[in-house]
Amino acid sequence: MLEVKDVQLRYGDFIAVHHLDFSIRPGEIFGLLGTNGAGKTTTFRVIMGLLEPTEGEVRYYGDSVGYHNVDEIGYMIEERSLLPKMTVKEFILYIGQLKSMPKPLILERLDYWLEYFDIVSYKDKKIKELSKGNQQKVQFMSPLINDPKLLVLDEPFAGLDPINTDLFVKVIREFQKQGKMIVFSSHQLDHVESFCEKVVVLEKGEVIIQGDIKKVKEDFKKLTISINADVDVEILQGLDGVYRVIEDTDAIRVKIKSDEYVRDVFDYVKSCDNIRKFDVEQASLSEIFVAKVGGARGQV
Amino acid sequence: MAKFKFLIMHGLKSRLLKKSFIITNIVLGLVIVGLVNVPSIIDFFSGEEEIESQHVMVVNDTHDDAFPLEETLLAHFNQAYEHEQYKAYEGDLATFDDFWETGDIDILLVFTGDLIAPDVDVYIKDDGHRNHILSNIQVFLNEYQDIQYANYTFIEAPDVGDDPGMDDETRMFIQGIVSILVLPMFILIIITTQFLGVDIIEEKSSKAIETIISSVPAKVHLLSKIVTNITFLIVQSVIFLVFGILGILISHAILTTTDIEAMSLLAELAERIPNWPGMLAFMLAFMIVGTLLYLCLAALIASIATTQEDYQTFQAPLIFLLLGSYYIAIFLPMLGLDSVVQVAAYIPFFSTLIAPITYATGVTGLMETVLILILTGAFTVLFMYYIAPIYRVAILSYEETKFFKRIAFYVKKAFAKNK
Repeated sequence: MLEVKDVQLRYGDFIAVHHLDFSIRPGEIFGLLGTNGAGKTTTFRVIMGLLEPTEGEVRYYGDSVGYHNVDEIGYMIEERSLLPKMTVKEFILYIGQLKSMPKPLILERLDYWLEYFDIVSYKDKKIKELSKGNQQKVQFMSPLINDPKLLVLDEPFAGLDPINTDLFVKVIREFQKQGKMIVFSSHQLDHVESFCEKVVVLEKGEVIIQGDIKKVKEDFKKLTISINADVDVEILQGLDGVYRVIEDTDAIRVKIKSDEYVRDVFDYVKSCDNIRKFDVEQASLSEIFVAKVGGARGQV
Repeated sequence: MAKFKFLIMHGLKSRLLKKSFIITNIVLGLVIVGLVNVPSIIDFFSGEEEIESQHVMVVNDTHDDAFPLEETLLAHFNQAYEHEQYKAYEGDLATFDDFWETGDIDILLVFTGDLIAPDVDVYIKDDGHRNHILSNIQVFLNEYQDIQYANYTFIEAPDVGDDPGMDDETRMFIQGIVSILVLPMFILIIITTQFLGVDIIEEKSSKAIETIISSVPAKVHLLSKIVTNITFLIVQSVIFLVFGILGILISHAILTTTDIEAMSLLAELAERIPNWPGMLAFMLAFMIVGTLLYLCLAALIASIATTQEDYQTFQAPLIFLLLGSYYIAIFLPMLGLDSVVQVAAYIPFFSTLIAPITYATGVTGLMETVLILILTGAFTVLFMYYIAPIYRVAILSYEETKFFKRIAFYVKKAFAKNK
């Protein structure tokens, strides 16, 4: 179990992380979300023990995180962090040995992951000779090689194409099934909510949303109703509880303040012709985020 | 500890097993062995050349006919002329005029009158020898006149316990030699600091450093880099030493298996520098301690830089320090500014290159040089102790401010955290 207990990190008057408090249990996927500069990377550095919090503490199975237990953790930073002059094999051997792994075990796991990511033929190639996508695969392999109990991934999906994203998601799900803890950051909220159970959304170091995603959505009362029917938009806008109507190409989206107004919208739509769709949806994470701090829809 | 050992082994392997390192050392090995054996090699290849013999007859009909004139003159003739050999003519001549008809005699010298100002009849078949013969007769006569007119008694200076020091000629010679020997030290320190700096900046600029530092503490990373590079320096020095010994052995083999009488370069040096073992020991000790200090500085600079270009710019102070000490080490002793050099030898970054020279030239004695070494070592430990926290902060930061502003920021952050 990983516990981040009331962590605050301050540089003089500047507060990089403001009283962050969350925990992750084995088998949980935790999302740390926020805009660029929100404090996600700083939080990861605190979790990894690279930065000492000004207040609070990080506990890993009741113990502090340090170099005595860091071999059980896999850490991938946001930017490409490879040694390009090394071959794939040399790099993974290097990282594996830094995790105190014996060489034969590293090579065995290296072969497994090379096959998994379909880059077996690049084993003895220099990293700088690989394409960006394959370099990203190698980078993703580095925190996996020690079969960690806790996987800390900073923006693992940044710049990935959909096929590779699915591949990475599959690995994360596999780790989850094995009872491992995964904490990752992303600014692609729509993507995160599809497989994350718990989230913390940071903005300028402060927590603006926190908890179980389902609960967060429930607590956020506002709903979206997607309608396909011959409706009059002006009438919809005039209904009680409706605060916004968006005319998308595939449907009309009606934003309502809470579920108590669904009935009124439904009653109106029922009176219209050609009804093909009436879906009541909870707000997406990005909508919740936008509502809390503002920003572009779907991309914070 | 295991990770520390791994980092050192990994660093050493990636350096020592490089093709460029192996090829460079093979070439350097040949050069060093060759340099050590330059006199032997020259003699070896010129050994085939036939030495021409000149048969000389010296007739001493002077008042001092007991003086071994022929023997003395032959010694003079042979002293400076390696490719000719002047030998005494074994035969006899009935008259001096027979000289021209007798085939196996080349030079006939007939001394009459007073040997201090003799009349000399010179018979020479090959005019090419004339100047050599006449100049050496003149030199001999000057010496003979000295012997006759002066009676020298050398009075030793009273022993007052002072170090008599070394004569100017020896001192100039040692300065010249040490200046040459300091050059490889200078180059090795530059190479080693470059290796360390590039190593660190490569990891930092590729961002791999964060993955590494998440597995090993920054202090261990710093120490591993320093130990790797100092070990590399020692290995490289040992390789040079082995090449030197190999050169001496080859030289010895040449001298014992042939009748060449040349001395090896090292043997000549050893003969002319009386305190060479101490000098060599100090050079090695100062090179190791001094390189450690320069490596700490290089590591600090590399951790502050964010890109290779940054590092190239920021390392200027390090290069200036090294260049400064190199020029002080070479030129100030030549100008006779002994007290300035002596003071400079105490300044840690300068002592590396200067102290071995001050010892070799007698500006600092044994105990004083040991004291300088201890002071430099203590300063290095202290320096390492203080840069470690700065390195820890700087290695994971990517500030883009100006150099000194950046340093000030990291120092503030490093020591604020430690309180």
